[in-house]
Amino acid sequence: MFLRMPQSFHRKPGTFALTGLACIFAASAQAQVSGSAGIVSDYMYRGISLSSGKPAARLSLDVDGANGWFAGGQVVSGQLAPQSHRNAQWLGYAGYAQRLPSGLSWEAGLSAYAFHGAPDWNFREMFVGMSFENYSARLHYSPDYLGFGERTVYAELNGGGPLGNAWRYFWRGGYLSAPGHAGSSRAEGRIGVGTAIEGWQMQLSLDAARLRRQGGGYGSYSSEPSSKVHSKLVLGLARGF
Amino acid sequence: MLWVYAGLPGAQAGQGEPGVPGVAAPAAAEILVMLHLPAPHFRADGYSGASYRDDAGRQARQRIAATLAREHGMQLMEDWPMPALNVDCYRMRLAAGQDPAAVLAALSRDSRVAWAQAIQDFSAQGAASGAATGTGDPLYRVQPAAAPWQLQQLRKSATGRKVLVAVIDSGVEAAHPDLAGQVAVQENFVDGQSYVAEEHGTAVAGVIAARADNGIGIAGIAPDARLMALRACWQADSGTRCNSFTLAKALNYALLHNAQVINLSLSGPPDRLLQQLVGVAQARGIRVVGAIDPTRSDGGFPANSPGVFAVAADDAPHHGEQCLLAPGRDVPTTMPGARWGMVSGSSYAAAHVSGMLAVIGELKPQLSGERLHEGIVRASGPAPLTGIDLCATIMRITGKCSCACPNPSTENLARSP
Repeated sequence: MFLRMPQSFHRKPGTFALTGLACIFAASAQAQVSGSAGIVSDYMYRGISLSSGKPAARLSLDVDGANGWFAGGQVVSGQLAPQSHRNAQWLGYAGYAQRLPSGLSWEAGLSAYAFHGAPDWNFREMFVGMSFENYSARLHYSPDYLGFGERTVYAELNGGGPLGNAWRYFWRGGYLSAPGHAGSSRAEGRIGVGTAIEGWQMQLSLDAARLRRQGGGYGSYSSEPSSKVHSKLVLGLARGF
Repeated sequence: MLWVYAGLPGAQAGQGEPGVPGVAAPAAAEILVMLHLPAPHFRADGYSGASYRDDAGRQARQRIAATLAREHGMQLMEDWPMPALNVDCYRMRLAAGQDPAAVLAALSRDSRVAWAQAIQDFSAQGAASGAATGTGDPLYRVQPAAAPWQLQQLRKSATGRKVLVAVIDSGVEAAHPDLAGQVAVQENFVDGQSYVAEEHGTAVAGVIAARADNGIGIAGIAPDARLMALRACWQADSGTRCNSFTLAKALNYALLHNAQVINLSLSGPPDRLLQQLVGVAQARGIRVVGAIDPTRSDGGFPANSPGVFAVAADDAPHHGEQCLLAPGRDVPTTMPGARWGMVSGSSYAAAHVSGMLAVIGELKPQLSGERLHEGIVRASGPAPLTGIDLCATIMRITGKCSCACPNPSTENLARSP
């Protein structure tokens, strides 16, 4: 059983993201705004459902400045395991990304998560990553992941490519390491296909997670034994802009 | 921010319809508008594109491009991201009678635009000069490089094995009996037309990598090199033509797919987009070879670009001190229709050097382009007809004698700029 620790960070990440967006807009009129609005059959976050296995609506926004700065945000109508109804879950992020002459790209940034109705879950992370062609790798460090008072490092590898003219495949492998609480560590992955037609995006994926041992404290799988690999088909439909 | 060419009307005049060879130039000019292409990074929704041509932020740029086109009365034609330059390149067609210079000047003041330029015309530097011969004729003996470069001896040491050479040119006949199996990649970058085999591209490909010891035709300088046949030029009544956009797409492809040598047997005016792509290629250690245009005082682009292996035909009347001379007159090579023919021009001289670089690339893949350029030995005795003493060059660079090598004299070195 995890103990809740007092949270020092309760500002909504929307504020964080808006500050980043404002900086980018102020620095450059060449800012490019993109995003998506849609629904997912289950909001899976690093292998764990943050919508109690229910469908969720999602709106995301991303802004790129001409000088490499980026910022963005997302709001999802999620539902944590202890909650009886849906609540907004916010994510804000900002960072810097640069493409090197070799073709390799690197990025570094900060992200902040906030859960309406459950502020103890709020947490923030810093991340660094590298990308090359259709592959990317990132490391996320949180000093207080999901408010459990534990430091975590999440490593992810992503890849994908075209499947004919209209479809593409994608995959992700991730591992969340919680040195102080081995029970929170888990491996997770995602593999799927997607397509985009006239601005609409569709993704169908198989999301799977395997806890090191008894999980607990959050997510829809918290009471299930860890030896079992949990998997779920997830359908996402969104309008890109 | 914006780079504008002075000779816009001239650039427009040479810009034929790429999709239809031989068709006269359209009345409306086209320009290239570059929008900033952000580096890939974390996104909350995880919706990423399938490739560099369809990244997650593409719709944002398409909106900006559509707005720009509407504001300036242009027609948005297509886009092609160039990650190596951090730009997404939009081809836009001006309205009939619209002054390209005025539009480019207006775009230069627009903060949404990274830069813009006219689409310029480029032309291949070679032509057929003799009747085609029938199949089955062994032409090795009449290859001008055969004896001076001691190709048969050289093949015992190196054949350009697995070196990837991008032939950015008109279409290559991959099924030609002397090229069968030599073309690893075949892509078309000429809009509105499918890949077709054409004379210039097929001839250049044959000089570089025609199969050796197969009992027919010729032997390429690097018969085990792998060819990337990137069709960026098209055969027209006025010769083999290309433009800034088709060439940029092909260069971008060669960069993304790890070409080790890029052969550009063509020439044209200075071009910011192409210059930057060539610069990135050189920074990545890719050897870029350009044919000198004898009608231009500076040889034309890309041959006049620093670090590019600028090559003229060995019978060229005028050439700069920094250019390399290679066989470029009456060169037997492959032609479409499973034929062979004689060709002349600096295009084929450049192809010889590309083949040579592929051979050296097999032996010394890590050698820097600058050192390689410095290490190429100009012939004064053993190979006076070709201008390059390949055997001496290889001995100097690798320390090994591959054929009947003379002692290279340091005073005969071709110095890079």
